[in-house]
This record gives sequence, structure tokens and C-alpha cells, in this order.
Amino acid sequence: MPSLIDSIILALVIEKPSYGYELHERFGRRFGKFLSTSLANVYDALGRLEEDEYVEVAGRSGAFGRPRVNFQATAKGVEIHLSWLAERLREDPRRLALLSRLASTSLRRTDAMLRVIDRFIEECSLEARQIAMPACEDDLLCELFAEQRRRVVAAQLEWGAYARSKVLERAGRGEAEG
Amino acid sequence: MSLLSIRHVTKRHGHGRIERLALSDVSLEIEPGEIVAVWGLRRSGRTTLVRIAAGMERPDDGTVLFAGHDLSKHRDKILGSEIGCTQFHFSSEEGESVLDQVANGLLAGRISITAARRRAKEALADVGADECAEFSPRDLDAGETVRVSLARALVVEPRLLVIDEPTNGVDLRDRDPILMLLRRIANRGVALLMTTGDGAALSGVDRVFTLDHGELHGGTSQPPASVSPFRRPSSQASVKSERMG
Repeated sequence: MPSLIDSIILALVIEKPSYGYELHERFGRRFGKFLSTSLANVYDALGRLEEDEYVEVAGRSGAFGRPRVNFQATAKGVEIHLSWLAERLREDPRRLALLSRLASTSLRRTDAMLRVIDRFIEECSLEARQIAMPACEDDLLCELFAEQRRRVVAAQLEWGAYARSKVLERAGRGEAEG
Repeated sequence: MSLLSIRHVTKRHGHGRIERLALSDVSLEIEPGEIVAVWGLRRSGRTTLVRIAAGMERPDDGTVLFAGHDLSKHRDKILGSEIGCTQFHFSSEEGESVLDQVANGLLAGRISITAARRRAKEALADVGADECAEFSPRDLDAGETVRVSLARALVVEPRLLVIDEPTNGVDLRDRDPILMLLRRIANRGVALLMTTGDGAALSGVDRVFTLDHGELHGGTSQPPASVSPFRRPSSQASVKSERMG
């Protein structure tokens, strides 16, 4: 599976066959808000993608003695990109497992648990509010992804309230037994 | 002075061993044109909060001020005129058709039935429910019920609209148009207090509170400061430590 940067370059090539410099420019316009990369990294990514047969040379052009190599996506490249996207539509379960291990290591006291849960609820409610509506004008995919995010945040809010009540219930039982 | 000011309100339901704290020292303020949402699970106290904010219930402790007036003392004057409370059930005594249900709220203001129906039609058109005017309330789907209920509350031109779960049971495709309608109403200067158990209905509201076992949290519009405790040592610091070592 390609890395994140490689996947973005592959997506840009799928969008429109192109050459390194133009891909770097388009990367900045489309993804600059989230990530930055150098022109050298774009060429490195194209090299790896070509080696894995996800892209191929579509032709060579160039003016004033500067050769320009155009790349296009292969059928294998398109397939791998779609699989990569589908996998990442879900939360990473390993990240959650790691966080749960980390939390159970450090959060032993009720007040510490409640502090973390309350902050979680606060951040969820702020994120829920900040998802604009309509999320995107005339962009169905953007709208669908925003809706998925809204549903995830809604479920996280419910989880936060549930977690809070379970922690308080256990603390109350502990007091009664103590 | 805020349009609605809820100050240190506490409310208990039941008595003795079955007494339950519905609201505990709750305070919040709402300004004109603002949408304030209160999110909570069932039995968190959200419906009690709506009823107290609308003046339909009195708090055991604390005060509710509407435009500086004590709501418990001026309830009859304010509720149904200055404060609109969206009710999703329709009593057959208030009219057989949707149009009459909406017009009924105006008749107490001693205007003619013809004028009341004309204004009711305008209110229904305003919320996108003009096609439902001649329906029986029993024939409305969930989304239409919300719109008609909004028209019924808005027809008296309130300054504050209180809504308990505006998207409950509403089809997903109807949800966003209803939320956008609420924003349009707020943009005219009407303050909106809504409660919801659906986190997806919080999109685009101005402030969000969460209610848990009667305790209100949050309400800020800014995210908490981010915490990044593990920084790489700066190059200067590492040079310094190398020298010291």
C-alpha cells in the first residue's frame, strides 16, 4: 500500500495525467491546507509509484531543452487507490486500541477519568457545531464525507455521555462498598 | 441585558425516595438571533429545561428572566406571544386542518378568522409547508410535523423560539433543510433554544451546551487550547546539554 504522500500523488495523476512540476503545483492548491511537500518528494513518489506499476510514462515532451515526463495511472494504480480510500473511510482500530492501552495505564482515578471524558465531550460538541451546513456547495462527495463526520461525532458524543455515567456509577458503587 | 437569562435554576421531579434532580444549578443566556443547542441523552433534563425556559414550568430554585422580566410573574403575557414553544402534537380541539391549527394561536389576539387564516397561510409558506394547509394533522409525516409546528409557533412573531428535538424522527433527507430553516429564522433576529439528542443536529449552531444528569456543561464557542507536551528539544538546547554533559 502506498504512503499518504504517494497516495495523494497517485490521486492527482488519476485526476489528470501530468508531470512532476505540475503535480507539485496541484498538490499545493488541493492539499496545501493539510500537508506540504517538496518537488523532490514528488519525483521520489513518482519513482516509487512507477516501480510498483501504479503509474506509467505516458509520453515525453518539453521545450527549450527541458524534458518533461508525463505520467498516467495504470489500472492497477486506480484499483489500489480505491482500496486505500475505502480502508481509510473507517477509523483506525489500532489507534483506538493503543489509546485505550495508554488511558488504562494512566487514568486510575475517577476525577482524572472525568476530566478526560469532559474534555472529549466538549471537543466533540464544538466539532459538531463547526461542521458547516450545507457542508459543501454542489460537491456530493464533500457533502457525503461531512455527513459521515457528523455521524461519527454524534456517536462519540453519545459514547462520552455513556462513559461519564459509567465512571460515576462505578465511583458511587466504590463509595458505597468503602 | 440578554433576551433570556436562566440563572441558577434547580428543578426536582417526584417526592421522597423517588425524587429525581432534573436540573441542577443551571445557568445560560441567549441573545437575539442566536441558536443555542443543548445536547443530552434521554433523562438528562433537556425537556425540563425547555419547559422552564418557555415558562411552562416553574423552577424550584433560581430565576428565569425574559428581556429582564421575571418569567414566573409575567408568564401569561409572554408565553405564546414573546416566546413561541414548538409542540409536535396537535389537539383536534384546535382545528381539523393544519391551517386552522396554525391560525388558532392568533384568535386569542382578537383578530378575525379570515385575517388569522391569511397570516397562517403566510407562516406555512415561510416554513415551506404551504402544501399541507388543508391536510389533517394526522396525515403529516415527521418533517412536515416539525415545519407545521414551527409555523404555529412563529405565526405570533415571537422573539424567542424554544424547540425540543427539532429533528427527532425526521428522515435524514429532511433534517438539513429543517436545520437550515432554523438558521434562516435566527437570521431574522429570533433567538432559538433547542434541545437535541442527535449530535448531527448541532451543525452550524452558535453555541452548544451538554446536559448530563441535570448538570449543564460547555457553551463556549472556542475550542480548548491544544496540548502538545512532547516537543523535540531545540538545536540550541541540545547543544547546551551536550556541552554540559
